[in-house]
Amino acid sequence: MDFQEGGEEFSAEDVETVIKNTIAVVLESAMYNPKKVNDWCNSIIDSCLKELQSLSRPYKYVITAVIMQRNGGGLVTSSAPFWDGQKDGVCKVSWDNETMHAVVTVYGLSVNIDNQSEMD
Amino acid sequence: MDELQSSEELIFNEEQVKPILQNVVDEVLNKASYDEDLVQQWVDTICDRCMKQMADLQKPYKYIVTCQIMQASGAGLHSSVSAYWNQEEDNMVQYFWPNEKKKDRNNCKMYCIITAVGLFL
Repeated sequence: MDFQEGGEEFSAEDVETVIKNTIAVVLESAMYNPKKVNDWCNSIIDSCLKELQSLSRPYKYVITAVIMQRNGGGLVTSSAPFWDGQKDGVCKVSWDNETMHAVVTVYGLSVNIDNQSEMD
Repeated sequence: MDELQSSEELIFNEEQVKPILQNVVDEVLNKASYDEDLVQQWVDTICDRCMKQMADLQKPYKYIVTCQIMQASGAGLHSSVSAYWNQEEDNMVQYFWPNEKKKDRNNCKMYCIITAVGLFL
């Protein structure tokens, strides 16, 4: 895979745009449906991952998507990273409508460009 | 033989990491009920403790630990993870609390999902 040169820092703005567009496409006008929620999660994650790959940056990505039915229950999430403080980063997008909450988080971890042939 | 031992020590080993996650979550959430004033503290404590213990393994990995605690209110929750990484070197471990062995599992007022991802440097 060929990577773009430069862009040494994780660009949260670019990633946020990718995530927001993906959620809007997948969940627009949707009502919480336990039979469909699995497919929604997978669609959001697959689309985000494809778009991020197409940015051709020297990063590994981990994407998590949580969809929760909206009935008043509490949900709290936290994460702790052990990474390169200057090059690695995270972008989290929260979205909701009348029937559900969705939280999508993308972690980007820089790779040594010499190892690019090993990426899957 | 020495090379094999050192390469085993360097991999992200599920058998080493899963007990760390289990012990930390069981310790922090043991007999606790969902409390909205304390839950933020719990998730932060769980993440910090897991991260410290994993860093102490001194392996050439970057780590991400995420913890979700949800009140058992009857709502549906779906969580997915996907990664763009090196399939041979990178790995992920998840632990769901309460697990099947916990005796009063059906009476727990909350659920916890903890995920640890290790990415080779």
